[in-house]
Amino acid sequence: MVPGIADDDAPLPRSMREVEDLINTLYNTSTTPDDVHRINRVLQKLQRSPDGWLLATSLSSSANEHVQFFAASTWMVKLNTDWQGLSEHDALVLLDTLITWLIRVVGAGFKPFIWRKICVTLVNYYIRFYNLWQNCIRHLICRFAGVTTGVQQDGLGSLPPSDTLLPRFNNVSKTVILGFTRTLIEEVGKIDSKNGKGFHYYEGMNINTPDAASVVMAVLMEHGSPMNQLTVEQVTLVEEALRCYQSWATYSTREAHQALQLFQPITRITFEWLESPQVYRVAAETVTEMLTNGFYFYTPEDNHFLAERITGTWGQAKFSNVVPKEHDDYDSEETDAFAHMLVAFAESNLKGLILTVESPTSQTIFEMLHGLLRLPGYPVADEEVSNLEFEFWSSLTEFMTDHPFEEGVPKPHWWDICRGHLLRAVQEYWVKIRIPPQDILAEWLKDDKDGFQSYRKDFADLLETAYPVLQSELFGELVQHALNQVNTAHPDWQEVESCLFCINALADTLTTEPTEYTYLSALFQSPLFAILANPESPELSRTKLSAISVIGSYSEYFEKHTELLPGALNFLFSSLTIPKLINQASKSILSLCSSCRTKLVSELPAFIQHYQIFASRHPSESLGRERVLGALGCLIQALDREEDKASALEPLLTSVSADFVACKQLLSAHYEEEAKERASLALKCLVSLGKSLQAPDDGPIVIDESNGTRKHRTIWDDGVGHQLQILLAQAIEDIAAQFPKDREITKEACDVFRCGFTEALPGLLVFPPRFVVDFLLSCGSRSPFYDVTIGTASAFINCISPEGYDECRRLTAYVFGLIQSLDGPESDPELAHNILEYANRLLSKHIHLFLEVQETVLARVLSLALASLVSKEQFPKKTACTFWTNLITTGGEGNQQRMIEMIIQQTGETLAKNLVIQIGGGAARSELDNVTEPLKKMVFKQLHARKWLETSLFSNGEGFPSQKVSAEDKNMFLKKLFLLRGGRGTNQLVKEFWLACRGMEFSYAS
Amino acid sequence: MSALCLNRLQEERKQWRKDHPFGFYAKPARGADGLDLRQWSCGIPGKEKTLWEGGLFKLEMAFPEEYPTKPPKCKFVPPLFHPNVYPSGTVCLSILNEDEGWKPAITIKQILLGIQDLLDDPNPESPAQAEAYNLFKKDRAAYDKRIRALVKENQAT
Repeated sequence: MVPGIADDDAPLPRSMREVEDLINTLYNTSTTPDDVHRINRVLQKLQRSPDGWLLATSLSSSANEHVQFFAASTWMVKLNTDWQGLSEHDALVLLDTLITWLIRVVGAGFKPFIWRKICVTLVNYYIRFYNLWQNCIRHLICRFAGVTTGVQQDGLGSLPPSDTLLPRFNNVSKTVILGFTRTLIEEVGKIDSKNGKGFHYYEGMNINTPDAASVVMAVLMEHGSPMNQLTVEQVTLVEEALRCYQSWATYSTREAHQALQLFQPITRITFEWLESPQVYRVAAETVTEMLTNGFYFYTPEDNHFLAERITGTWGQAKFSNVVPKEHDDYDSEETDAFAHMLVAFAESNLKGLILTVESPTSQTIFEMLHGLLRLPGYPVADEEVSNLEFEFWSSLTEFMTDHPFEEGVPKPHWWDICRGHLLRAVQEYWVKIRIPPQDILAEWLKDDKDGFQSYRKDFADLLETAYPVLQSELFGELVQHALNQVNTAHPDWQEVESCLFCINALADTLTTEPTEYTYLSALFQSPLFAILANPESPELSRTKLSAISVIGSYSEYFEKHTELLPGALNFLFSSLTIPKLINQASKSILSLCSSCRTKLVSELPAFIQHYQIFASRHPSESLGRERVLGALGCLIQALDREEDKASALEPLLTSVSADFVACKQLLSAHYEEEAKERASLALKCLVSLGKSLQAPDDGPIVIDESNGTRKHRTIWDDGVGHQLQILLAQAIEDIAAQFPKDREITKEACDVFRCGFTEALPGLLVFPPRFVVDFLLSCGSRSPFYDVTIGTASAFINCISPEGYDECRRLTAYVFGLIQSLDGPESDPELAHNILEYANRLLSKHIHLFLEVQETVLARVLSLALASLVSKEQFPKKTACTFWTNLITTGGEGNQQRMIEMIIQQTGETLAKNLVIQIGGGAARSELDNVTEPLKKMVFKQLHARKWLETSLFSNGEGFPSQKVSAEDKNMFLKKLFLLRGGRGTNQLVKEFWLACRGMEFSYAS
Repeated sequence: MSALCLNRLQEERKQWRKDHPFGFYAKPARGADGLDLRQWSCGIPGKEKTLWEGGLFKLEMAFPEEYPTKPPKCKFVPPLFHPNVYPSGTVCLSILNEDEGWKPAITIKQILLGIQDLLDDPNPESPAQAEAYNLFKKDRAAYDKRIRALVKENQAT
């Protein structure tokens, strides 16, 4: 701990000596972070104090670098916070102090971080007092040259010109002038041009541009030594000049014509610096930056000149130097600099390169681009160059595909040549995406692995983009390449994998060309899958994984080539034995069985056997089992005879029953968690099976011809099927009852029942309504998961037919009965929301069932729906809005219509009052559209709406929540509201009224 | 499509291809007539060191004619179990709301990163679906479990 600064109220240092001591302690590496924090607070207090100016002046005379740095930072603080307190005289004195100090610091040979900080301070000074220091660069040069003193700038014009003065400077002084010039444009460039003072700065930079350009030009042209023999100081100087050029050039592209005119001619000089081995990297960075972000700065001639340099003697020599063929001997930073520049050039000159692809320059550029893709090493881990080209090749492809061609006229020559380049690039990348051997992979860090995965995906994107140009030639080549490997004695499996990866990536992009399917047939008929199915080859697992994906991705192909289906599926089922492959294999099995269900029914017995083996070996493999059961369900769904369905389902249900038994055994052994997992798995399997048994969306539409007469009975009504249903329903009830307080099990059990709700034809999970309602009621009686039980009940009544009405009545009595346990929506918002959801469904689907509930019960429902409108809880409120919208718009038969009308007349006034409370500021902004809906309907449909709304708007006290709108505003609102007649403009009107009530600026007069 | 909308989407595409965060993808949908720049399909990976790590969630981004003056509509497909995702799958996030935080300068990358942040850091102030919201509020353990199952079903490969 530092003495004297134990807490924030510690006394401030009393002498300059003490301040200096604190600064030194601050920068001392052994000071603890806590002390650093405390010292900073004390020093900041000093900096901000009125004596900050004096403090900085005193500290600046110190010989200690840290103290000097702190002095500059103190001036920064003062300039940022107190600059307006300085008189013009004081400001000019400050300028003189700062410049004198800078010259002294440079002369005394202090480290660059000191003079750079002073330069930043001076730039900050300029930003505050630009009118006192208009010719800042020129003035600074003259001060450094010693041809003027003080801050008088009137006579600057009569002094020797800058380009005469600059050659007399030493290299450090020139670097300082450049440093200031660069910081100036970077900081001024950050000021928003729309800022009130923007124009002054723009003018100010115009005044200074000639000086800036002459400094940069002088340094880049007259550096004093041959380009390849620079001293360290000269290197720093030239680099500073290049960066300074870059900053001014970038600024000039923002409509600063003066800068554009003066800096554009410097461009070619910057290209020359590429040839200096010492400055090359910074020169290349400057070029890259200008090509990437200063797109219009380079003229066509500049680009031409640059192309010549890149493809000329220097460029070719540099290229072969930085892009070697061997892995170990290159400097990646040198390579990166070249690669970035080359790719940036190629991107910004894309069109020209393509249209002149046969010219020697373009040819060389293309060859260099290919060369970069052949750089040795794995992407990301070893090289970060090849990924730079994804954008170039994608843009090239898009240019080719977007180019308009006349029908029947052959494509121009350039098109074919570019296509050739694209194909080559794809082939080069394809080598790059090979998965490294285990020993290399083991050395990779996580970022390398993630990066490599990401690289592969980016390449997959490029492939997709390129396919319309390369078409089946590429596809054929990929397949052939894989097959060539497969047919050798020792296949390179990494190579096969990369081909499969690419084939997979193209699954959604294939055209309808028949050759593509011919290639696919060659692939799927090859011994590849038989070899991969061999369980003795674990080193193939990555290749196997890609092969599994390929099968899943091309299910459309298999639909047309059913003869290959059993082989493919056997391969997939055999993959289920390897735990790492289960996820992907089960996915592909499901995809294939779902698409080719009718073609596979004959295989069902064999597949069921596969499943039974899999389930017995991996009983806890939840996702895998769910998917495979789902796959089998698809095949069963495709069977014609209901009896066949039932007998196919039996063994599957037996396997699920085994899970229930296992669950109970675990329970009796007190392994509650494990038991629950097993129960959950079994229920999920049933859901998956149930979903796949549903008629597919594209299946035949069943037209109900029963016309009120009884439908013909099936085995699901009273045969074997029905027996299965009874057993299953009992088993589910039984298992759910084991976990009465478990939300997940309750939900999953309900989900099993849900599977049959929307089905038009009978089936295993299309339970009789009584089963469903019995189950829901018993769930409701044992668990408080209303969103689950009532949610399922709502879904159920959404789909019931007249035979289910009695069961629906039982359910309604239960659901509405729950209102009694509520003390307003806020006592249990979830329950309130779910009851209202149920009421909504009943109202919109079975209006007569809604209206026939007992009067007292109905009154409770309406009262809940009214109270929810003014509740703080969002979900009950939104559901209540839908409820009232539905009620107002529902049309029924004569008697029903009269009853609805009666309800609305009875509730209308309160409804209007509650809605007005909401639009008068009570609702949250996100609820406004919901609240507006019933309002719109009311305005449109209800005769008394105006009276009700008027009463609510003008009622004093409790009725209207805002005092911020006048009676006139309210009248105007009401008038507009009824003029709109519930039309779309109402939402905007309500939003504005709500804003006004909340107290935002607003007037209705307009 | 307006020139402004088209240019911006082309530029977004270029920028995305040049630089995008690991594990994400975003590309215009491919229709019968080529690319549809106003409809993108995207993938958002769960953030590292969160419950969502390892998952990849598909999202569709639809750009209105007025883009970038108006924000794109972001929708998880299939709808995602999350307090700030509507039952339709639409994401409820202030930067995607024209009246709140949307600014034309917001890039596709920023949107996707914003949604990635939202996954593990839901905003209970603006719930969009009752199921995930109630579970998140009432029974965090059960909520977490649902998320873990979700991640397993939507593994990034």
